Amino acid sequence: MNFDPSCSSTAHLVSRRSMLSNMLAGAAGVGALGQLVHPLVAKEIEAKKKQVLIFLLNGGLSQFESFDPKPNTDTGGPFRSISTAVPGIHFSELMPYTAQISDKLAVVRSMFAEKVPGSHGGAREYVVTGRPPQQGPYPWIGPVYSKLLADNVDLPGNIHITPSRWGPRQDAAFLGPRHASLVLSGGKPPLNVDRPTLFDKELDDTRYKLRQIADLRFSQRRRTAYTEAYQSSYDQAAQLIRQKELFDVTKESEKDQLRYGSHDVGRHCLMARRLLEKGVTCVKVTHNNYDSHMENFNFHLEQLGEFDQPFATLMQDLDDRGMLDSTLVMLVTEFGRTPTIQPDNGRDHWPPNWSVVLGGCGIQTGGVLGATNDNGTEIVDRPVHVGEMFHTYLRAVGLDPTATHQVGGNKVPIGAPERSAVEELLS
Amino acid sequence: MDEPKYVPKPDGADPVATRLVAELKHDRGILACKYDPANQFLFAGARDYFVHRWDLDKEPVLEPPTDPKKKPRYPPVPAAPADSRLEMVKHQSWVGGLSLFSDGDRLATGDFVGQLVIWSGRASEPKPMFSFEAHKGSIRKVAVSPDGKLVATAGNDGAVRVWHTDAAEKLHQEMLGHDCHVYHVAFHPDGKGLISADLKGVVKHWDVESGKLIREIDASQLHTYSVKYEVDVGGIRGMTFNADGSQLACAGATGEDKGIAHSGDGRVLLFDWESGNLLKELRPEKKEVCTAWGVQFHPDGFIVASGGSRTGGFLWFWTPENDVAFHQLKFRQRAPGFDVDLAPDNKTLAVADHDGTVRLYEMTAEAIVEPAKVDAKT
Repeated sequence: MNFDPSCSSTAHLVSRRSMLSNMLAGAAGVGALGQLVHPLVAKEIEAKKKQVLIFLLNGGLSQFESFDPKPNTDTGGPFRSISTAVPGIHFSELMPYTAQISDKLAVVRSMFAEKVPGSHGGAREYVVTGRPPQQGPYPWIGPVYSKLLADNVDLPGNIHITPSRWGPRQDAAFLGPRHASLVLSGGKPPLNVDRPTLFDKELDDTRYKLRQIADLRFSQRRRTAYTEAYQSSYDQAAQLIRQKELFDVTKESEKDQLRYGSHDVGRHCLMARRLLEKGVTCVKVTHNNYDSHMENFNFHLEQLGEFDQPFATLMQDLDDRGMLDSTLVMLVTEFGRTPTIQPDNGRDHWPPNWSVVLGGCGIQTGGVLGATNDNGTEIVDRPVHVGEMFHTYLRAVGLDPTATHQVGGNKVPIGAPERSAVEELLS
Repeated sequence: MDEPKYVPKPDGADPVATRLVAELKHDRGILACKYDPANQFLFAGARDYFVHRWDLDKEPVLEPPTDPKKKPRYPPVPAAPADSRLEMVKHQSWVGGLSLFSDGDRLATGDFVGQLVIWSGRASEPKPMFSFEAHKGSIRKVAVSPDGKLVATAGNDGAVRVWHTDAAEKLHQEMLGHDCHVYHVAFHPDGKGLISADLKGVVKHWDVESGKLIREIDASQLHTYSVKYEVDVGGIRGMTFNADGSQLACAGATGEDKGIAHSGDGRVLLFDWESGNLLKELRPEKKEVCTAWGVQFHPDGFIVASGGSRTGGFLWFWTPENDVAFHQLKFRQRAPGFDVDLAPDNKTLAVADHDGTVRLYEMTAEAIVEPAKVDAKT
């Protein structure tokens, strides 16, 4: 069955952005903005300027080998803990660079979820939708930002930089394909961003205008979510062709390329900086291979050895550019890893508690929320549910997670209605 | 093809009769174990910050069965309780490298944060003679030269270093050339050669005196590059020479690209030292998803390796002539044996087990003892 998220009434042809603009114009004519614009609307206007950077450490980052170390315990592993820029807070020695920028981070050591699916895909979906996947599909956080922060922006609102062999996901659910992640597999530009050689620029512009006229005529009579999506896809593709250099990290200085490192995640972090600087609303970087059922310590040594420096470099660069004031940074993973060290020196999946890190706009940084016991087997202070974090991710950029998506005339709560934001994390 | 067979030598070890005789208990996974040459102590490194020493004279053996017709109960119980374990304190991380001097008085140990410690191991209260940071990052293995004057260390920093053993931080040679973590190091019995082996299955042969690379031996069957996950998997986990130095054995796992969540298939590669040619790829009786972690040559002419995975642990026994094990002992516990060492009596094996126990196995036929005669060693 086809559904129509915007229905076909011409009344809805007034875009949300133009509606807000009209409200602003009217308000400006009669008095101060702050007095007349509803606070939530004002916040949403403010939110429009916000950007989001998401790191997904895919497979299940070990909290023991990262942000909640338990050295010299039966569960702790071989690595030491080290001091960080925040007195009293310690990270694993596998994160020396991140430790130096810990004042720009808020660490949650008490993440949990119940009835987490055994599959990585299901658990990941839980984390990025705030709802059990059995209730879904719901849109992932990236498409939600694309919809609420970047609607009607020409560039894709939600770009996902992934390792190789990572294809597109249907992550937008009922928000429609327009907000689905544009996947840069292996950090490579989208395919076919070069203008066909048959057309010079002038001819191509003419061809594009002709298509726009045809689209407009068609949409006035038969407008659906799909026609919108097709139109926006063409628009975005045209933008991509015009701005294909957006995806070329070799345009960055050699010094920066060295600072970020020559490995994939280094280049991907540098590309994330480039995309954010060019105005992309939501950028997600996935780093793989944390699913260490075997040789957990070797693989975390390798993976965090790659990730730590470019992550910290990117955080510092965003701060130096003043971008952290308007950019929310999230470092998430689908679950933690078992306190028990398994026979193959591995750690298995562990949803009862794990760590998540936030930084940037809207977040109180330089602290730790929640705690686990001495050997990390259970939460002893301030449990934080993944659903609460979903609310928090939205509130941090000024969005209202208790508002609703419009789906075929129905209202669907943006965040799980039984959850609310973690106020202690919000500035 | 004939079944692989081994005929024990008169008064020699009988691998097919291998049986559990003692359990040395601890509460952390054991990573390495070594007998002292006098067969009094057993030393072990574990998933904690100590070197552990058991006094074997004070450890009771497990109660032998009194009726050959009765199914033996498991686990068997010792005739008398005892715990002679002593904790030697100095390390700051797990201890995975452990090597004894031939004089039996000293041992060298290395931990996962790069600290090398030389101990006076036989003292009533063993103390470190000296210690220092030998590597940035983990020391995987240590090896003491046959004359006891040098100790070699291999680490995650890609370096192999040879140190004098009479003082701290007295570097003899540094061998660079591995492009990944170095997992193992061993001296040739002639004391002139040193080999180091890494994650990618590269074995480098160095001249101890000059520190120069002599040649490389290809053991890359024990490494897999996972295309799906874009990671290196495997490596050389166990490595040793036979007594005259004519053969080299490298233990690990080989197999298809199973990514980062599964072991490969346990293997021991047997090389001719002079030519560097692969003689045999020794494999278990049946295909087992596991890794071979420790390997030893027995003076009677067979090869024994320990290993396993979360599905079970094993001892495997081969002759150099046949690539299929003539015997394998599956452990009752689902725990791999991370290391195996041969006792000076050449009849007993010590296995370092994941479940926090060092198990001693005798390679002799089981004695049936009258109940009245059961007694603990004191």
